[in-house]
This record gives sequence, structure tokens and C-alpha cells, in this order.
Amino acid sequence: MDLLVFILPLLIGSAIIVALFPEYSLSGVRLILTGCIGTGIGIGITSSTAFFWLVLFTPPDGYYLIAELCLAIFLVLFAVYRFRCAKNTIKPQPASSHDSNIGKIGWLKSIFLILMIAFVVSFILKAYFERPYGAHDAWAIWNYRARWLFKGGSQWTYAFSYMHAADSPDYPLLVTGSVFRMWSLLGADHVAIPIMIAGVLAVGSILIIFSSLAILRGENQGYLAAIFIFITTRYLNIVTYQYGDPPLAFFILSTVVLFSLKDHYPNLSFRLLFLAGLTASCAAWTKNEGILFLVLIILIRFIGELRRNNWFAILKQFFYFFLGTSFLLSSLIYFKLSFAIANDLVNKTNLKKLGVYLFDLDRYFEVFLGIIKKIFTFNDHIISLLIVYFLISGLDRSSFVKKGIASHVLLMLFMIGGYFFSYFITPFDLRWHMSASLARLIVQLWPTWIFLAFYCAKSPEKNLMGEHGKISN
Amino acid sequence: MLKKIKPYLESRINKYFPAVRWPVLLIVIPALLIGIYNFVDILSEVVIEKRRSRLAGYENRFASVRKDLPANVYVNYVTDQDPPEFIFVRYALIPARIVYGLSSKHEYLVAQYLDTAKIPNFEGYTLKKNYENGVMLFQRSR
Repeated sequence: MDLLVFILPLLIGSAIIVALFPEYSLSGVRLILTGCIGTGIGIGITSSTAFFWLVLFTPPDGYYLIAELCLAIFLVLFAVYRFRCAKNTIKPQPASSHDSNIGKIGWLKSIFLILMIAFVVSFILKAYFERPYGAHDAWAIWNYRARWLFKGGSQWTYAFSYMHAADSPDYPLLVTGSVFRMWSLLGADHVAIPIMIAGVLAVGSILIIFSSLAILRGENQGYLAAIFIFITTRYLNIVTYQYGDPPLAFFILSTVVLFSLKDHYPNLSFRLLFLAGLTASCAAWTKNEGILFLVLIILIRFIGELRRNNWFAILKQFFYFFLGTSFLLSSLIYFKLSFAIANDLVNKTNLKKLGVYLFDLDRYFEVFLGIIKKIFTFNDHIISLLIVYFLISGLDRSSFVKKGIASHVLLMLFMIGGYFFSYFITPFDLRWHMSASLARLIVQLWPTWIFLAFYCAKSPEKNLMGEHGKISN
Repeated sequence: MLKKIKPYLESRINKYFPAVRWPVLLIVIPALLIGIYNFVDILSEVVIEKRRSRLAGYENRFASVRKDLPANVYVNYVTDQDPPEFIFVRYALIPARIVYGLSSKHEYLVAQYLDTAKIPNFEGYTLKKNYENGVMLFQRSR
């Protein structure tokens, strides 16, 4: 029973991916990508179905588990059917961007594995023993609402009604809903559940960085990028808080990775867009910043492309993306319209202040310098290391890498612009608000920045043609 | 100067790491050092210093009160602690609806007096149960 509660989201999400990509998703490093993104999508979908079950019937119980099990079995059978059909049809593998003749650097893999084990053990120690209930926002917002949904009985809507605006009662429900779903199915509010959700998505982010770069740039580059995230000790620390920021980082990263894959494998374009729609809507279902991300993706990747491409082709692409978003987006709209009270940052009162702030040059400087300072001092100036590495290592100039990279960077910069705006109109003390939340906002984008940096940088191995020394295992 | 140092460093690194370009070491060496240091640091925090979440203490202290409170009722909360750590209590006592202070008096009152041995008096309330851990449950007098 316990195992089933954990495995069903993985089965549901992975089955969707296998059904979409039966010819590619179950081999080699792609299996890791399928499992990680599949788990995230499964958590997103089941958090929404559990919430709807609560709204329509009762808290998730045995009947809900049977319904979810039926959904999983149906999707798995469909995926198996698609997989068998694909096996019978010979299809070319997607062209790889990296030279398959380049060998693996064995010690890089060993270091990755050592650091991964150290990361997981550190996380378990810190999360289970030092911080089993997470940090402030976990018991003030995320798990507070989950506990009310679980224990509130017929009065569960109180989870959203008696909260201060600063407690962000309008935050979407992916994290809260997943914790609530698992607590309900297990019949007890074990501290292990939110810890497990935070841990799975954090490790998933690292594995997505590795596997996506292994597909796009070669395994050595994947290992190196994943090793880089282990230097970010702040990331591990924030994961143990049990907040929504690391899960949001997971979905932002997944979406950017899927768009990168879409840029490189145009023959899989529509299926990848459907999947990107799912992950982008999971981001919107996780935190309000995810809604900003979803809007920016649509603006940059679809509306922004209208001038350069055939509008009918863009419309068709958008249709598949929108199809992917439809389920979780409708959950989000329903939640926002029915339960979420006004947002603490974007509301009428704050927007009225905007007129005053618009002419306040000091405020512009304060927010701008605050963000820049925090970015450079984040995790003991780790960005300096990334920049130095990038400058020394150099840019990979292959057309394969250049494709679509500008739009990803623009997307990330616009996200920072969105954070700038939210601080600009904040009703709270600006310095307090920035010091309390800016590091977490950086964490939302950090895995994606690492992915993009290593996506563009030269690979770690020496050029076999140009430099002496052979690649050894 | 830099032109002389760079080839020298490259030749030394090539000797030990023939397969990779030398900038890779800029990442790998700090990652190993920081990863291992962080692991040892967390291990010492948890095992030697025995750092634990304060909320865990609240969960244990308020577990019995939670069972004695009817679900979904409004409950007043007062304490001698500064800060009052209302959010801990609010979380620990779900599904009771906790209101800090006595500005609006409800049927039940939970008091947490950790620094005072004497049982406090609240006008209009009588002690229903003393949990002997600083936590007391009061009910409105009839």
C-alpha cells in the first residue's frame, strides 16, 4: 500500500512519456530523463486529481486509490502497446549532437557518483533529523494547508480562508496537494512525505541536468554540469526547507530542457511541445512565479516567433503546447477562482502604488542593485566560478548549440525582470522582503542557468583531433 | 607572464589528467572539497551538536491537547514566551483554529507557560487539564 502511493505518480508520468516517445524513452540515458520528468509530471497530475476528489467527494480514500490505480494501469498498458508498435517499426534514432566516438571519462563519472551519494546522505541527515518539519514557510504555508486539507474534515476550506495575505494563501497546490494526497492515502501525516517529495524532485533536477546534457552534449558534459550543482550547497539547504521553490526549479528546468530537445529534434517537435506544456503547467501549479514562467514561455516561444515563422506552423505548435497545459491549467484556474484570496503582491492596492513608485528612481536602484548583489553573492559568489569557467573554457560554436539558446537566455532574464517587478511593488519593507526571499528566487532559476551554461560551454574532453592525449576510462 | 604560466600549468595538468581540458579542474576540485566538507559539516551538526527543529518540540508538547480539543473549534492561545511562536502552535493544533490572545474569547483556551511554575488565572475560564509540560487547557466557566 505504502509503496503504491509512491509508485503511482512515477508510473502515470513515465507511462505518458513512453506513450509519447515509445521509440526513444526507454533506452540508455533517456530512461533517466523519462523517469525524472515522468515522476514530476505524475506528482503534478495526482496532486490535482486528489484535490478534485476532495472537492467533489471526500478526502482521497480506497476508492480514490482504485481510480488512480486504474488510470495508471490504463496508461501503462497504452505505453506498452505503443512501445511494441514502435519496436516493430524501424525508426531512425534522433541525430545526436555530440560525437559518439568521444569516450567517457571514467573518473568524472566516479566523482559524480561519490558526490551524488554525499548529497543524498546529507539531505537525509539534514531533512530527517535536523529539520523534519522544514522551515518557516513549510509550517506557515505549504504543509500547514496540506495538514488542514488532511485533518480539516468537512471544514477543509479553512486551509485557504484563515491566513494572512503574507502567508500567500493563493499559492497553487502542487506541493500541498501531493503531501495531502499521500497523507490521505496512508492515513497519517508522516513527516517523511514532504521530505520525500522535496528530495525526489531535487535529485530529479540533478539527474535531468545530467541526462539532458548527456543527450545533447555528451555524457562527460552531463557529469560535469551535475558536479557543478553539488558545489551549490545553498541549493541542498533550501531543498530541506520543504518550500515550493526547488520543485518549481525542477519544472522550469524540465520545460527548458524539453524546448532545447525540440529545437534539436524537429521530427519530435509536437510530442515534445505537448510534454513541455505539461511541465510548464506543473510549474504554474507549483507557485505563482510558475504562472509568470508559463506566460513568458508563450510570449517568447510562440508569439515572439510569429514574425520569423509561418504563423500557421506556430499556431499548430501552440495547439500541442496548450493541449499539454490544459488539465493542470484548468485545475489552477478553478483553484484561483474558487479558493484563492487576493495575492499579497499583485493586487489593486499595490498596483495603485505603482503610479507613485514609477517616479521613484531610488526604488529602481535599490531593487536593481539588491538583485545584482544577491546574484553575485549567492552561495559564496558561486556565479563567479561559473563565469570564470565559461570564459576560460569557451563557447561551443556548433550550430547545434546556438539553436534556440537566445530564447532560453531571454526567458531567464525576463523571469528576473518579473522578480524585479514583484519587489518593485511589494507592500512589505523592501530590504526585509529581498533578504527573506531573493536567495529562494535565485534557486528557482539556478538549475536552468547551470543547464544553459554547460549546454553552451565546450565539452570537458580534449579534442581528439586537435590535442594530444587519449581519452581513457 | 600569463602566456608563460598557462602552458606550464597545462603541461603539469596534462601529465595527471590527459583526457580533460584543464578548466574542468576548476569545477571538479572545488566540488570534491566543498561536497565532502558540507557532508562532514552536516554530519557534525546532526550527530555531535544534535541540532533539532523547535517545531518537533511543539508537536510533542501539544500532541495530548490536540486530542482533547474538538475539531474545527476556535481556540484562544496565550503564552509567557517571547516571541509567542504562534505559528508553531497553529500548525501543531490543526484542526483547531487558533487565535492568539484574548481579544475575542472562545470556548477553549490553550496556555503555554514554560517559565512560570504557577498556574495562571484567566477571567471567565477554568482549568480543564494541566498536561504537566507547561501546557494547560482551559474552558469557559458556565
